[in-house]
Amino acid sequence: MKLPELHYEIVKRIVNGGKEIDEIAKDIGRKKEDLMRPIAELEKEGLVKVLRKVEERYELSSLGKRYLKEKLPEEKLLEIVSGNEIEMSKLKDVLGRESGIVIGLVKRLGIGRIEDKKLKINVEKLKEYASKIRECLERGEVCEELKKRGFVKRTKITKIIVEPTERLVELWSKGEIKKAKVITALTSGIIESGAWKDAEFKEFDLSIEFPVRRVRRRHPLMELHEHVKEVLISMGFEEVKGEYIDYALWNFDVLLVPQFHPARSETDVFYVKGAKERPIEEDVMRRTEEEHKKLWGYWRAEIARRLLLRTHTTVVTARTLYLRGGGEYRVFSLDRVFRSETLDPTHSMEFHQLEGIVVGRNVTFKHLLGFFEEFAKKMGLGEVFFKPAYFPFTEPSVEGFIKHPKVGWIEVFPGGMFRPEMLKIVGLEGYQVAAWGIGIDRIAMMLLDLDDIRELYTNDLDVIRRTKVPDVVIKRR
Amino acid sequence: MPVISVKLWDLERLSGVSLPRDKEELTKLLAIFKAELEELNEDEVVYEASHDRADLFSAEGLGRAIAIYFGKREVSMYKVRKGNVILDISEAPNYRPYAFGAVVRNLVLDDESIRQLFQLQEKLAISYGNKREIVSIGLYDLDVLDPNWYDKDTFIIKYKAVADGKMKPLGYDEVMSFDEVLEKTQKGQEYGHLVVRGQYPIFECEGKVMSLAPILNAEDYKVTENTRNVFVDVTGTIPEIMLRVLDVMVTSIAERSPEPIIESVKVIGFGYTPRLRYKELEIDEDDIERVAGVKIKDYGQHLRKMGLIVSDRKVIVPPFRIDIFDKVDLVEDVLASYGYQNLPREAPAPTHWGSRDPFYDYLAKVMIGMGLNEVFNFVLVDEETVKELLDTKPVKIINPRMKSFSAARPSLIPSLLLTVRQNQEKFSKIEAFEIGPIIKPEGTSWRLGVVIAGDKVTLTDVGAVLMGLRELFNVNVKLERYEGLPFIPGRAAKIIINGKTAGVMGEVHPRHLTKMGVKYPTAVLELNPELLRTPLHS
Repeated sequence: MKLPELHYEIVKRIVNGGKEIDEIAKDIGRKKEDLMRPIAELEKEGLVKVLRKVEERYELSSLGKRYLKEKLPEEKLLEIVSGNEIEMSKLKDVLGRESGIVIGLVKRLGIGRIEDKKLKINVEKLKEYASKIRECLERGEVCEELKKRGFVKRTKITKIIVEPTERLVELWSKGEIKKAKVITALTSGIIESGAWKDAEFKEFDLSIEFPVRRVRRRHPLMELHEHVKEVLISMGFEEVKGEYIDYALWNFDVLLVPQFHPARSETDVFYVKGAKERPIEEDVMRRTEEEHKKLWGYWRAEIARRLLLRTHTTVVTARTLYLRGGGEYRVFSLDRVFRSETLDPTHSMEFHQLEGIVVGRNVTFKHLLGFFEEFAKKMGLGEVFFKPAYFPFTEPSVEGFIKHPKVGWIEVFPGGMFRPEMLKIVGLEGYQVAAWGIGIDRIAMMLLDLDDIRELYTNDLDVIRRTKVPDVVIKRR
Repeated sequence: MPVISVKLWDLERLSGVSLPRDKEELTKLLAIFKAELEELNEDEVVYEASHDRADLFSAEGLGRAIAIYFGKREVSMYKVRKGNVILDISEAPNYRPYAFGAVVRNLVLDDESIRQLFQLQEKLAISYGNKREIVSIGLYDLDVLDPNWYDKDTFIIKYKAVADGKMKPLGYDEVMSFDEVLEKTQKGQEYGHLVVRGQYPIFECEGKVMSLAPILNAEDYKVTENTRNVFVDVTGTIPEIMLRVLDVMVTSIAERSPEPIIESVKVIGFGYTPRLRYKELEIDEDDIERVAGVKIKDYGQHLRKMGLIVSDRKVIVPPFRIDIFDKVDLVEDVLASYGYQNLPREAPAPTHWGSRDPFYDYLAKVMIGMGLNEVFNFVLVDEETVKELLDTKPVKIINPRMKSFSAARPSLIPSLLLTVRQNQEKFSKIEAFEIGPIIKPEGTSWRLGVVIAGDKVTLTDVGAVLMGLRELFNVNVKLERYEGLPFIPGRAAKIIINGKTAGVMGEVHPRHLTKMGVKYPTAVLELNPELLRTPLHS
């Protein structure tokens, strides 16, 4: 049988004969109260018997305690006696009230008497007596004389005596009582063997800080993107993806951006070399030329053939229109786009755009505004404020603003109805298309409570861990 | 978008409308015209004009728009009289072959109106002229050019290429050769690349050099407060845009006259300019409803407020509204005047179930489940890094801004090493993954990249990840010896999944680690996650 450490220590001390609890406690070095519970448990196990014995006993009275520290009256007397007598007046001066006590004492013992205002005593006998009393006091010995003089008093105390049972003695002698292990961490071995039954679990000190388990999480930006995609899917959109490198044709010309427009200049756009040219859609080229010449009186094929890193994901939605044609559908693309910028807290040469289109015979501008409102609601962005805007490929166009808690109204929802000229280029007739291209990074930074875009586009594991979980993900709706 | 500065008092003078001094009110008013208030400093208003509204690139046009919006006046039907000025462009340089002109008379100018006309000229040349390349504009005082110009039957101005010449450039005291104009003047340095030396395009009249187009005019014929009659020129390469810009210019200058007279210029070989064309469109209530989803009965009223001439379904577009091509443009004007905030909004009920490919997000969760951290890295990386690490030529940016972002990554490996470098001071072990796009000459694709770095890290660390994926996705994985960069020979492998090359893994060679500034042993894995999507069927 295995016993917890404290149980074992108790048993060890009484197996050869019962002992009083105070003695055991003193021996182990614990408080008596700490032992009560283990003893009760041992008793329950049938290993010990607990006897409660009421005992009478003498202990020093307050007078006794006093004379343990001070001189006894008779000792004082012995100091001032000269020869075998002392003047009564001197005795009273030195001993005060105790003079009466000492006179009574020598009379009772028959070793002194008063004569001629002098106390005469047998000094030898008194010395003998005084040293015996002193010895008794110091030893704590209850001698009759102490009782008589009221130096001790009688009290009743309950003694708790722990005695071994026969079972204990037998188990002990067979060596079957062992000290149990203290478990600081369970193991499967302990569980399987049942060793835990005899084991003691080490108590945790909760005041000590636990170590931190580092969170492995999705990148906060990706966490947010997942949520955005979920919202759009709930609104009936399909996700589409596309190439990052494309012809200026799709990035600009199809979208009716005049070839002389400053947004196409090399200060704004990254043009590339070293990419393989894919076959260009000749029908789109032809119709683009037609529409551009009508709108701007100008168009050159070689400008449309330049390869660039797409500056918006409208290239993807526009191509989807070209490939899928008419019908009632909605697609979105959430992906990277590129602009010629220097990386700083508010600019990045690479960022994300959330682009989408709603295609149908009766899709109108009010649906676009309604979409923005609904999306804002689902993303927890609050109220949307609309203003007229200009994009070469949409008309009417709109810019939607939301309220940023720190900086006020910010533009996040640009959109519009694709222009008829553009629909003609991609070969769509009889349909209307509501289109939007959301600057999702600004929304992401707002929801993630970041002020620096470099903390959004980060590979710093510390920043990733510290980035807040957006309300839109954790708040109950 | 062009940023325009105007004076409130000037706008009020032009429009006859007293304007709010309050930022919010002014913002609302400008929003109707798609302009955005940027600053209001006492009497100066700075706004960003919408690129398409070229007529609002100066106070003249904005004043006119405000006046019409508040019903102070109607749109003028500009009349063009035939004038006596002839523009001879027969000797024009072939790289800048076109020049058109117009005459506006009866002007009353002051400092502010001259400032506005210069601003308009400048902003048009930037936004519509691609910084003067395809259109640039010049203004001249005709009476200084020749006090008797109007009495002549014909007054000939020549636009021609000359080998060399001299003039006193605008704002300078000295006469300079054209070469000097290009070298010494600020405009010369800015726009000099647009002219070919030895074929200088100039305007010349009666032997006097009026300007070196498209760089600078001559000081002598500049427009001043005393100018009453101006000649406007546009030179450039795209006639259609030049004509539109000239229309905007002429109609704006005309705003600076109580009784403007516009006279056409005969351009030899081309015809008369300006054209001041009025476009005709048709629109009705249904057109608006079809686009906007709202019935607006008094759309005619709204169109009138926005500066269009409306009679029943017929809408006449004045020449300065070069932004209007189609009905939809009229619809936007109606909505802007109606107020976007007053429009109905209706979230369109889904017509189909939404859908997307969940695989990449799922894969990310699997990787997190393996105890790896997800990181994000840019597609753009340093071209040299790619060359050194991978010995391949990446797709390159012709016009990079920063060396660190000068090429497209053809692999995630450079990004994974950047990740280690970013984190190595804070962590002694780095375990991360990225699922991201790469760009190769043949196109964009996606990769899964894993990096494990720390003391005693070996190929086993990333190999274990691969085995985990093999088990989960039930694919066949074969490994072959791989000798390529950037790995330690003999400590790398080519990964073949279901018989197809899927990627590589290996311990990065200390030579590359040192070069990249990475201090820990680093093992990486990169594979095409698409190949995990076809489980083996047994």
